[in-house]
Amino acid sequence: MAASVVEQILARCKAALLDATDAADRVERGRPDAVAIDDQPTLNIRRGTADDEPRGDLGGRLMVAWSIEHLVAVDDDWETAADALHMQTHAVLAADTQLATLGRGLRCSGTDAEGDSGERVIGRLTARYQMQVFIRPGDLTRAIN
Amino acid sequence: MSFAALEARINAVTVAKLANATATIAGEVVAGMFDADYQEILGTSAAVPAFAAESASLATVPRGAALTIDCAALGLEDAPYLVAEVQPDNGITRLLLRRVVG
Repeated sequence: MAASVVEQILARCKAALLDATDAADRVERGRPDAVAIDDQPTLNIRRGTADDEPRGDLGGRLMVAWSIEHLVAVDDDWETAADALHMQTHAVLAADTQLATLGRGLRCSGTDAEGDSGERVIGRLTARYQMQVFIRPGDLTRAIN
Repeated sequence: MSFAALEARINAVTVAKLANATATIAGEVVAGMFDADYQEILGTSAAVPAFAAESASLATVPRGAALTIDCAALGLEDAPYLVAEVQPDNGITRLLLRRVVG
């Protein structure tokens, strides 16, 4: 069975980000458990909401949201390190032509940042993304673009 | 015996009995208790290293000071750390440490 347009978008994000940023191949999907500190920086893509707004009888607009956690462990300035990593991921996603075929209006709608201290300074910048996808009623697997 | 003297005596005995490591700070070797339990911090699994000893031995250690830890039980030999936080508490001072990454 074909994957939903939401899954296609998230899978494409992961594929585009693999080995394309300082996180190298440390790109996870919905990872629920902790990442070892020596495996930083790491990206963790998390599925968010996908709200459908009906547009007449012919289709609807699906607003697909997801987030990308940027995990860093550094000596001191975690905000700068996490921001630099986010700018790398943003540039990759914005330039990805395959992602652009899956929906419209890719947008980073906001970020949250948290830092804490352990054996190193640990930071997590969560960037929220969204994209709109037009779909036909009853078919969640194909975008109409 | 005053309470302060009693407390100092108990602290000295506690450190003498429980010390599992030494910290070398500015050439001075201090015996104390080292631990580095793992915690999950913001989605990252990280050790939280700390060294505790009698406050008199650590009184002048500032935040940011460099030190090395020797702890045979944890396989550490001249392991380099920086002091991230100094927590004095009734005669025992706990140093929260940050690992120096080469």
